[in-house]
Amino acid sequence: MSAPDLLIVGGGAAGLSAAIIARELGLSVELLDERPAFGGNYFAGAGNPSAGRLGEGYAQGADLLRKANGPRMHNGAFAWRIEPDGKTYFIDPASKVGRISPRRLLIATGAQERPVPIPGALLPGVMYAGAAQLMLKTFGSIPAGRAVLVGSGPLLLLLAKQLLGQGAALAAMIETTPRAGLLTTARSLPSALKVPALLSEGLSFRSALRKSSMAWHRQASGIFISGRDKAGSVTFTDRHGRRHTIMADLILLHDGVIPNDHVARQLKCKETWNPRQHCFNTTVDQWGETSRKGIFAAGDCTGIWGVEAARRSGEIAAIEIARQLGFINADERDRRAAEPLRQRARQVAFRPFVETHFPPTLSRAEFAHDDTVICRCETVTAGEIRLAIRQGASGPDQLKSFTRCGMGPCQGRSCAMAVAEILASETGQSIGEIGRHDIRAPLKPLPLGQIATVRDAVEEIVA
Amino acid sequence: MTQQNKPASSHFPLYRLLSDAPGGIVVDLDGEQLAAHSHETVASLMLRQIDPGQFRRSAVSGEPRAPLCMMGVCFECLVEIDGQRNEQACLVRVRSGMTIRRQFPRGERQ
Repeated sequence: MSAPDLLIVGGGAAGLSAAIIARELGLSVELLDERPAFGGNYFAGAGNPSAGRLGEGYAQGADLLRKANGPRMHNGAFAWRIEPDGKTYFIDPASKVGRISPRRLLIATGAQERPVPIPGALLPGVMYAGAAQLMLKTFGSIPAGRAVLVGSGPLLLLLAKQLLGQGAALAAMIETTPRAGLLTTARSLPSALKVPALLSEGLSFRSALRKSSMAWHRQASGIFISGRDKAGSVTFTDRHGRRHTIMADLILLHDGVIPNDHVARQLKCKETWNPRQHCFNTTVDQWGETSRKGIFAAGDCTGIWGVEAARRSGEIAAIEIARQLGFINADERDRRAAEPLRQRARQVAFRPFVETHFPPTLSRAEFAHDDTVICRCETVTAGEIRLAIRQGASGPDQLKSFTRCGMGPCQGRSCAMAVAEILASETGQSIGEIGRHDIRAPLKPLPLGQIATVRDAVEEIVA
Repeated sequence: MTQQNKPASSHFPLYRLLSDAPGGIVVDLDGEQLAAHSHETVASLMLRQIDPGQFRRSAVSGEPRAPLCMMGVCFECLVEIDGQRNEQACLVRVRSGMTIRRQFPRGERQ
């Protein structure tokens, strides 16, 4: 069993930035990432030779990957159980169980797509926009047939621009983003203007789309997907109240992203409901330390702050960890952290603008029809969840035992937010009070035989 | 109600590669030999090789399902890889000689 100064779970923007700084300061670092290559979602495929075609910002990822490269950086390694003292059980690509006992732990598990439970979303041929972006960035692949983009958020606009630029056939963009009120824009614009590069990037997406021949519907509603064994069309109401049906082979859904926070939840780190982001945020201090001493979290797994903020947060956490372990003193920490703290504050100031313009739309489960499936794994509908609530299920854990919602292989990654939203609308409680079901190890289903290969590990866990 | 497009073609993969360089890795998908690129995952290979309606069926409902997120979250891409069932195809990189079996309830094959 290794015992590094710092173990990082997640090799995206935050995790890699933390690894670089921690090693510079003299710490021994180990990193686990479940994917076959580092970079997370934002810098996925940044190490590939073809990465340059997606622009300069993305090319920075190659630099990050090169600097972070080093010993004890594990790909295809999944951390499935973490003790409050940071001791971590993982499974490596050869399906062997390993253990690491670090002096400090940094959770940097990034974001996931905000799950979208709408009619027809279970059909093959329906994917999240992030999936299509990963197909492009990681594997140099684009939609083969006609694709339709549906939903709301900056990523949807960026993806449309990227796919059109690569020659993909996009049949339509069906945007559900509500019309921005002047007052809300006026309120959030001053802080957004502090980051002009992000604002002009957003405007460039829209102007690229206007120049294309793709049909672009705004303020769409009433969306459903039809098909027999796979998706064939998407139907919606446009802003003039007209119904449309558009045929498509691939329907790409997006309604923003939320923290990928199962590790922090398994550790029962304190979290708070963020109404503007409409998701839970792991509670961290300015250095990234969670409510559990010695356990840090950085990047989008703590709240959606964007890639630049994630990089700075990773650096800030590494600097404070170095201070806690005696590699640097407090003065040195403050000197080194000043610039990343300042840069992060600018990035965070931009978020209210994005949050105001792209509130959740498609994903809002409280508006789901009774026959819409909420739990993909166990095929539990909104109606079954509402019935269980009326029969007395008062919280997410009870709903899980009543309906099996959240009990499948994804362990609630797709349904936890929807369950909270339905509970809130049925009971009148706030989502913050309701919370989500408990997350227990193993964080993903593992064959029992693999856990049993490490006899003393089994004894430790059972004991 | 307006009908904007002709019906979508009935049988072909969801994705295609931008480059036409041949893949150097050969894997076995249900008895068929497929050429793959060294950096791709089982899920990305299948998405550009087979019809999405033929990816797998849910063990619970029997309905067809296919990859949704490609980032390890949704568990819709489960396949059998080298004898191990329920592997997340989006997280496993292809290897020469790898055997991939699609999963259908009760041993039923498409």
